[in-house]
Amino acid sequence: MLGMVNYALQEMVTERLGAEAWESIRVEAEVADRVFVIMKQYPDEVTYRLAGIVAQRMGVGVPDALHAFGHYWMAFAERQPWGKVMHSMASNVRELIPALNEMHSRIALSFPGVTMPQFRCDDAEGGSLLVHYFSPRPGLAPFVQGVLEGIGAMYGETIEVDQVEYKDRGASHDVFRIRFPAAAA
Amino acid sequence: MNGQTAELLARLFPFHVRVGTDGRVVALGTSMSKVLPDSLGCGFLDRFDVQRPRLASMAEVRGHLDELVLLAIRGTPLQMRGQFTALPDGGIAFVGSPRIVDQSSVWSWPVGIRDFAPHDGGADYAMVIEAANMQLADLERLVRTLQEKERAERDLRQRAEDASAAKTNFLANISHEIRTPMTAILGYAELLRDVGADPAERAEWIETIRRNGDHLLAIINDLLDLSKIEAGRFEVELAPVSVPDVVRDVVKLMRVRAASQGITLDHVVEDDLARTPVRTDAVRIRQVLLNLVGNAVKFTERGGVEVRVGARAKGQRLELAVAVRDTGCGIAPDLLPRLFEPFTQSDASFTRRHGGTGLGLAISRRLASLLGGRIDVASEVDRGSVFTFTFDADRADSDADAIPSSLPMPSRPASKTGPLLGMRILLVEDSIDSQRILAALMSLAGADVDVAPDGISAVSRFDGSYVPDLVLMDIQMPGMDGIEATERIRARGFTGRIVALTAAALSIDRDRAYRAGCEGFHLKPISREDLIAMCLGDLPAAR
Repeated sequence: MLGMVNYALQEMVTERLGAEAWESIRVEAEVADRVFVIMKQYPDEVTYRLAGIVAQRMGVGVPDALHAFGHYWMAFAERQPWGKVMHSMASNVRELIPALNEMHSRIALSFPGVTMPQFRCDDAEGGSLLVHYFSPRPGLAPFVQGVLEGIGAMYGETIEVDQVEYKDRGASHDVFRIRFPAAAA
Repeated sequence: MNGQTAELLARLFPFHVRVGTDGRVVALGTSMSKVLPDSLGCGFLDRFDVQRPRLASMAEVRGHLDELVLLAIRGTPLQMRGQFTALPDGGIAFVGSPRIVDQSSVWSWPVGIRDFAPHDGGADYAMVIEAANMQLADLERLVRTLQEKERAERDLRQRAEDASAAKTNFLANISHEIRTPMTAILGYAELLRDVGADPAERAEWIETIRRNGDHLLAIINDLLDLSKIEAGRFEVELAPVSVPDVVRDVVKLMRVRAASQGITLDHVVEDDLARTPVRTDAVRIRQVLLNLVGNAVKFTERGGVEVRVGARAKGQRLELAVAVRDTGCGIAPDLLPRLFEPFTQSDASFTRRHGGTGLGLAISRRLASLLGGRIDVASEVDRGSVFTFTFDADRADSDADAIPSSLPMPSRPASKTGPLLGMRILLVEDSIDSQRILAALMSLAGADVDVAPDGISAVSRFDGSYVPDLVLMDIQMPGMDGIEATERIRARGFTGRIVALTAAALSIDRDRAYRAGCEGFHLKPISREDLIAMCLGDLPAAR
């Protein structure tokens, strides 16, 4: 996982629980790095271990913690230079979602060794979108749901995101449905 | 050109420009249309400037087909890189994409990443530039983090070094403060063993011993007070107290000293409310005020000291404020923040000149805090200081009394015969008690003793004709210390013995003394036998 993810997690915990809480989480997770280099690859295990302890400290289950982190991630990414990239790609949720795959593909091609998820976006009934999420990393569907909801927040749009296919329940991959209640009305 | 070719061109090259045989724009790619929406039918070279190679006519353009060209969009900072290629219908097309060289060129285009063809590496380059940007920001963050950490470690190290230096300093001062009166006590006790002494002199010696004993006791009490307060074992005993009465007693007690210095010492009760008896600890209030007024008198050479007592109601309670204002030397701004810390001495020679343990203010502030109050200070160098002791207390019904005390003064001894007969000794010593006892002991042993009260007057004696047999040199003295005096006496050609006799017990002092030119180093207090042996050069040096 890119150090950027761990750094964002650190920022979220520091903002919500304080710097001392993060320090004790880091120590408990036996993570030696006091700072994360954002474009450096860290073992996925580090992120999973940190996320597990963060969930405990927040008093929620790991899926809920990941969901909250997904929301935070989008706000965090928007503050980074990637925010400009996203805004140059799309001016609303409906434009950005289909572009997610291209964005991740370009990053993956430009930075060899970085494992990026893949997306497919299909139009579905009632003007909704079906977002197919493909990743070798397990257990991150709640994070993706948080990210998709975070995209709505980034554009100031009201959207509803539900997971409709679950990889951990036997499906080939996770699928999310995005509804646009305002457009439907 | 057929529709299929046009459609293929549009799909593969969204930034292309198709030019007819007449040199006019006949079609634009979808992305280029966003950049130049009203260009159809315009002369190609009216809208574009072929900058590299420099081509000024369509004929020249046709001469450079399928070469790399740099194309600028006139009136904008935008540039394209690509090539001209011939089309089947006789026209030509420019195919290429935005030239991206830095961050500003990425976002100066009114298009987004998705306007690039998927095969176009230009978009990837834009992403790489952004990533590089992000890495730069990250690097700055990491450097900042490291610098903050380094700064924190440096501060921590500095604090530890300061604390260590302050403790060493403190120990050196305490050692000096204890050894100085101890020298007088042990020395006069030795003299008292001499049965032939005059009864009046013996009475004086006993008084000197008592006074120095009192001083030692004060130092020990200060140390014990501080350690008790810091251990949380200091109790406050509340009883009805009239604060103006305590102030009056303290002023009365210190007035003799103020008068002896030729300065005024007055007190003012600002209002009747201040006279209201309150429940507090008179002994501790007195201790704090003795320290504050004592310091004010000590450090004021001209003008005077004024103590003002005021009060204001604070609900059912009273807030009392005692302000001690002096016209003394003031306190340097850099010292103010550390003034109340224990183990913090201002200038070591200053402390020695004025005495004390350097703990008075540390104890006072802690006492003030125990009484629910505080001490604030405002000061200006050479103008004076104001120490304000503020505390809250409940109202009470009856008044409280103060307990005064007093201090006596010294005199001088002497006599002849004994093992030092014929020796001329120069005693350089700032403490009057030490001067007197050492001179008396050496005189009784037969020596001729000259006394210099500080380094400067000692050095001034060595004008060429003065050659004592021995110089006994104190180290810590106001003005010129013993180290410098020894160096200067040596510089004036004196080759006789100079022996350090000091209360400075640290090895660093010994090393400095030897480096300066001393031939021996001995600690106070010293017994009569050792003193004589030392004068004769028979006493092994202190370690």
